[in-house]
Amino acid sequence: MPIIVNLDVMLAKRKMLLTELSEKVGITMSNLSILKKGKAKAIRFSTLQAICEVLECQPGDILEYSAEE
Amino acid sequence: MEITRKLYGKGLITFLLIVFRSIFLLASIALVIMGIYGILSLFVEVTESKSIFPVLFSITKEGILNNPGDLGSAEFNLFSGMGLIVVDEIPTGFKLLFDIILFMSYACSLFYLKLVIKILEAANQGGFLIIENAKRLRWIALLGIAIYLLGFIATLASSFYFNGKLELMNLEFTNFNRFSLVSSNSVFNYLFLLVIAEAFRIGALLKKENELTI
Repeated sequence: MPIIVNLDVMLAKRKMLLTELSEKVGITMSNLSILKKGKAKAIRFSTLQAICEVLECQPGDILEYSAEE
Repeated sequence: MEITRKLYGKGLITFLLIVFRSIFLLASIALVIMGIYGILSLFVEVTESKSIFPVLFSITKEGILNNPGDLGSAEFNLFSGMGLIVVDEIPTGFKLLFDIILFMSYACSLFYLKLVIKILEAANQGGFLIIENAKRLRWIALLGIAIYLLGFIATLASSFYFNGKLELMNLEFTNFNRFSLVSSNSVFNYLFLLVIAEAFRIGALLKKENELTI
C-alpha cells in the first residue's frame, strides 16, 4: 500500500511505548499494532485525532504517501 | 479484557455437522465399494449381476380420467415418463461407460458434502463470513450443476442405448422427452447459489475491511 504509517517513528521521537499510547488513546494494543505494522485498511478521523493529541503532532507526521513503483 | 464471541445457533450447527459427517462417511464407504466392485467386475465374472438403468418412455394407449361430480370422464395420454429398468446382462462397454458417469457423479456429491462440512466447521469456530466459505459456496454451486449434467447425460445415454432394443406392450421408449428436463429447475437454484456466493464474498471482504479499520 502506498500509505506508510510512521507511528513507530513518532513514538521513538516522543520516547513513548506502544502500551502507553494504547492506554492514553483508548485503543487496544492489537489494533495499534495493526496500525503500526501498516496492515490497517483504514483509519477513523477520531482515532487519528486521539493519536495526534497524545503525540502532539500532525496527521502528516504519522501518515506518509509514497508512490509505488 | 477477554472478549468472548457468543455464537448463535451452535446447537444446530453441531447437529448439522454430525448429520453431514455421517452422510459423508456412508457415501465414502459406498463409493469405495462401488469402485472396487466396478474394477472386479471387469476381470472376474460376477454371477447374478443386475444393473439398473434409467429409460424414458410414453404410453401409446389412452387412459380414462374420471372427473368428480357431473363432469363425466375424459381421455388422457401419458406422453412423458421416466422409469428404471433392471437388466441381467448388458455389454461391458456400455455398462462401463454408464458406471464411469455414475462414479463421477457420486465423487462430485462426495466433494460437495465435504465442502458443506468445511463451511459448518468454520461456522462452528465462529468464522462463518469468510472468503474461504464464499469460495466453498461457489464450488458447491458448480458441483451441483456438474451433478445435474452428469445425471442428465447418464439418462440420455441410457435412453439412446435402449431405444429400439426394449419391447413392452403399450409402451414406447424414447430418446428424449419432457421428463428428461424435469429436474432442470435445480440448475437455476445452483445458478442462484453462485450469485449468493458472490454476495457472500463481497460481504466477507467488507467485514475484513471493517475489522482492519482502526
